[in-house]
Amino acid sequence: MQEYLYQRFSPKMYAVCLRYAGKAEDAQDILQDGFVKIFKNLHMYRGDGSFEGWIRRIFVNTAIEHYRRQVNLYPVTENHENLLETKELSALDSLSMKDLMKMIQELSPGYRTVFNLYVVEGYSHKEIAEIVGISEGTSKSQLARAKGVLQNMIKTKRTLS
Amino acid sequence: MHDLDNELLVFRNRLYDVEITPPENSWELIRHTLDTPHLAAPKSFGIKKGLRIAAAAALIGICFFAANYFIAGSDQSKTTGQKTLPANKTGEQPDIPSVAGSTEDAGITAPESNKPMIASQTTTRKNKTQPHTPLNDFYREAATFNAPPVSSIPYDNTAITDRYDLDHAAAKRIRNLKGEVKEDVRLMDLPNSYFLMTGPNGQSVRVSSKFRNTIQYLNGSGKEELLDVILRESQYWRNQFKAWKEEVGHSTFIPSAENFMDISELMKLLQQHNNK
Repeated sequence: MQEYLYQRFSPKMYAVCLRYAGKAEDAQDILQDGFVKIFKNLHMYRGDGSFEGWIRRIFVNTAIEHYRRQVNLYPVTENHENLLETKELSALDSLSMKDLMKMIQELSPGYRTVFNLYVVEGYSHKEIAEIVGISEGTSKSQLARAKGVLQNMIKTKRTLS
Repeated sequence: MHDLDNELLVFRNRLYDVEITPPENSWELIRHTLDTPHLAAPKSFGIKKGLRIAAAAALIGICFFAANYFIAGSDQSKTTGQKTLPANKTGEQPDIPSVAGSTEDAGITAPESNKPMIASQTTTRKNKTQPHTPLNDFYREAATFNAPPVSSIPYDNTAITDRYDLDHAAAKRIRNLKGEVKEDVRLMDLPNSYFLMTGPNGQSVRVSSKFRNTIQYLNGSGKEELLDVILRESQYWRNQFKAWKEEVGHSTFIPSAENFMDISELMKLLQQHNNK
């Protein structure tokens, strides 16, 4: 049963772990902790939502716990946020999934966490603030900074290519 | 789910369902962790252990303070009991050996106090300059239980111990010849004109020396001179207020609410009205 669940969900969950972790070793640690939690708390799944969603939430929380100490969150002013609203990200289509993953991994833990939670998982800033333990404004500023960093990365890649 | 910019939507669409095969040994590691429970949840175990230690420490602390409190309380009650116990088990006065030179009570023995009272030490120190006479020994606190039997004590001597006379050596005694605890204001006095007294529940109360005479009188000392002092004081203040009142009454102030003289006027009117 446990092995079946592992085989069924580990590829997706490992991708989740890689998005939140900076390194593959850390991602493997998160994967391990996440599956141990799932197997120990399997009885707590009440069948309200999708099983995959439940598993994913556990992995996201495990990844956040893993990186909570490393997260350095700095507020950013409104001016910075506005400056980062440029449309340079349109060049994303030309990038591969591997490139996107690598770009996210290169973000600092704080930016990466907020970016993943907001953009990929679809949490609101209010929910992120509760999950990570920061203010809503900080979450917004972190996302804005993450977007700015990604924008610079895309520019660099385009120049190189 | 909130709306995203198109650029950010690219990230979501292309990364949300991505599948990447984990390293081969991942499952082995997970299985190993599950097989060894102490590895599976080391953090939670640590927290529980820490909580247990903290709870045990708190319990020990509470027990210690509670025991200390009760032990201190019982000690205090014992001390009080010893101090106020004037008689022996039979309810009589403690047996007292005779005074030097007396042969009547030679065979009578008395319990000896192993621990001299603090007041007795103070008394001894304060009376250093006094000549050593049998009468002084008689009044010394250390000789409280070595005093002659009450029947042999002349009434005058007892009266001396009861007298509130600070300049008299006998005033330093804590017990009188009957074994009763006596008040000695000089022993109770604190600097800055305060003295300590014990309340009905045994609590220590700091009281201004102004109330010394009143409290002593109310405490049942029954000394007329104390009452005289109280009456003198009250008479003094009564006269003082009368003098002030007359002074204000004869002043040239025009009665108004600003100088409160209107109250005086009102009182006069009321008195006149009552007389009519």
